[in-house]
Amino acid sequence: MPRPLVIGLAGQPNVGKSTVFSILTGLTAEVGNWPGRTIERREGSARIGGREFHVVDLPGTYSLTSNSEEERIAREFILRERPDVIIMLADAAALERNLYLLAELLLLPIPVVLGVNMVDVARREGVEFDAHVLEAALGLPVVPMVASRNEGVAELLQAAAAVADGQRDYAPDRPEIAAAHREVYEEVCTLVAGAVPEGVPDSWVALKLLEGDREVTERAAEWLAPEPRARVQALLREHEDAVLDVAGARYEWIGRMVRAAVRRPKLGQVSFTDRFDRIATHPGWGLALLLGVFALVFWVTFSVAGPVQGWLEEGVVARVATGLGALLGGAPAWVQGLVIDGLLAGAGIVVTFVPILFVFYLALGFLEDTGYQSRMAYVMDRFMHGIGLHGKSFLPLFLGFGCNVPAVMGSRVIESRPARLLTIMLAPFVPCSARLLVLAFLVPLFFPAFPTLVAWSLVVANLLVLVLIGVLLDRFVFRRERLAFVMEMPLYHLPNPRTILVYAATNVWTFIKRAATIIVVVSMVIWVLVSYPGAGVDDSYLAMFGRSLEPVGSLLGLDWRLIVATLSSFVAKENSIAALGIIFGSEGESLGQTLAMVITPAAALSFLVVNMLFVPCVATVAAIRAETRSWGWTLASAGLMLASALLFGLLVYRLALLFGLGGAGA
Amino acid sequence: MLKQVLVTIASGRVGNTQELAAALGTSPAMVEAMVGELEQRGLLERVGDCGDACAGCPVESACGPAVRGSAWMLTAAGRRYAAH
Repeated sequence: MPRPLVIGLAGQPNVGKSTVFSILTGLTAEVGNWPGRTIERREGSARIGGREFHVVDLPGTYSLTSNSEEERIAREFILRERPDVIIMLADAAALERNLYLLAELLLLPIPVVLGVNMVDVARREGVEFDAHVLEAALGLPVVPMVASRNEGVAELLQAAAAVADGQRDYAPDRPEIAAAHREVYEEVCTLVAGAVPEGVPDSWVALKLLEGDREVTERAAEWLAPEPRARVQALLREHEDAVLDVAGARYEWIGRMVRAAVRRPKLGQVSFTDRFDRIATHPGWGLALLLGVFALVFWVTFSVAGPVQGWLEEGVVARVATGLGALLGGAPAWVQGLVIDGLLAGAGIVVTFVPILFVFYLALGFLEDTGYQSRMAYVMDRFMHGIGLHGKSFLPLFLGFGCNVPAVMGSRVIESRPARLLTIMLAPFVPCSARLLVLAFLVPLFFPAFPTLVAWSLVVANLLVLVLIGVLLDRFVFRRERLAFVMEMPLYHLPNPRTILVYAATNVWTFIKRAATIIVVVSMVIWVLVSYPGAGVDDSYLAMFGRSLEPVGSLLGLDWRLIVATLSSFVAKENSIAALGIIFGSEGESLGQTLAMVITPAAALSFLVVNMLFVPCVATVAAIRAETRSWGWTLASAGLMLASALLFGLLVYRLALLFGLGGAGA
Repeated sequence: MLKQVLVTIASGRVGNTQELAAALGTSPAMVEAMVGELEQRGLLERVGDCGDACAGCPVESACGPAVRGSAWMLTAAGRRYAAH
């Protein structure tokens, strides 16, 4: 009776090796450990067509380089125990990746048979492969299988037996090293010839040395005499990049093997993605589409969430404040102030963010789930390259139009720290809805004759400052740190409403949990600073501070009142309106009339510019601290905003004076 | 071929895997396999996976699968090989 045929079952993880092993060996399977190792060794016998087989299940490995214990075990088994044949299993849907192991197995002196498993799953994913074409290209038996249904397993074993018995042609096409390193490979082959243990091919050792295989390199130092060892070491040092040519040649070989044999994926899906991407990733059309999509997101966010935010502010926060006022009627004034003007005002800001955030995240989740978000980042990256911003900066900065806090926090989507810091530094320069509100309120008071032109010009100028600061920061602080990268473009697909909803809800909830704590605490501290020691803002510590700054403010046309109004915007931007109302309202006239009489157009312009660019609100500063985890960067951001506010305020004031706007109010 | 992948990415001529496949005259599936290989060899690094730094971030899940880990950049070793 002939001895059983020994089969080594190889393959990458998750290709169905265990299923095939169980079908083949059934109850005969024995489990032990590989000698000296803790990794399981499974073996068993099979009997098909009157022929005995002994099957050894090798650990799942991606290659046969000594990267892991599993890879060392697999190659040691093949080289030392010398099975009669190796059955390698591959996943039909991922042949390009799986065939790398085959490329390595073919370098060893044992015949290989390829079982291409899960052809049913691959077909469902749109991947079709022709076993005959692949077999002809590889020069070894290829058996299509669905192991989970026991289809093709017997054929695989029969093919393995036929190859081992020499009854079937076996003339594999093996990968060859790239021409650039062929000469050095041949020299290493010559140097190791005769020195390596019997049964280990010289060519395999030479390739592994060029590949930088740690174990073979260590062993070769023992095998080789001093002179050839020194020469091999010198060659390896000199040809450090040979590793890429060795592995690269395997991929070239894989490319040749699958080119005619594999068709993927479904034509319709690819052509839709390709067709749409011709527009979506086009430098011009892609940008136009992106701006359109964002205009839509912007419109949806503010038209749907805006009224809800207003309702929350007036209907919920204001009512709670009234209720708390009644409840704390008997409590000391400072307790009422702290709870209502500090705690509630802080918490109220956070609560009113929620609708905007939720709708925005729904829109963002939709774009992500369809696969479009990758294209957005790609198009924006190209566009923003010029001004030194990473493409993903666009998303958080866009969010900044609603509120700078989520813009700063949203910078987390940027991987590179310098790019993230740049985005965080720029986020407060985006005119948030609160600042736009201040602008919309004050411009008609200062410039009742042409409010639209002034407001529009200020917003455009604000955006130009954003671009300018971006370019300067990138060029002089971050020094154009540019890392080449490629993005993966997933195929477009229909979005799942549940995924989008969960995505939005998770983001909003985590935002509330973290931001609320920081914002509430800091808001209360600032409330104390604007409330003490006097009864109003006028006598507060901040007001005293404002007076001390008047010498600087006067250069920009700002007196202490305008300085205090600006300073009070630190708590929340809308505070500057309230501060102006308190200070100027006491003079008997309406606020508009008073301002027109007291403030010159030049000073008004300067005040508006300073308020647009002034240090962001405390919630944004807290977010900057939380995101950068650095007081240095937080202060740098505040300092940069302050410097910009002063510089551009001065510039606008002096220009306005030149144009004769320094006289009586407009 | 692997070196060509590195050189092409380093050149900045391509921005996504489809363009990379077209530039190399191969399929996106081959590019995916090669990029995986280069990542395993420490020559490319997957970006977007911010690890511990993301813990507790309010918008952590905003870096969803379509964004997180969907880009690769050259490591220092990768840049060295590309320039070799």
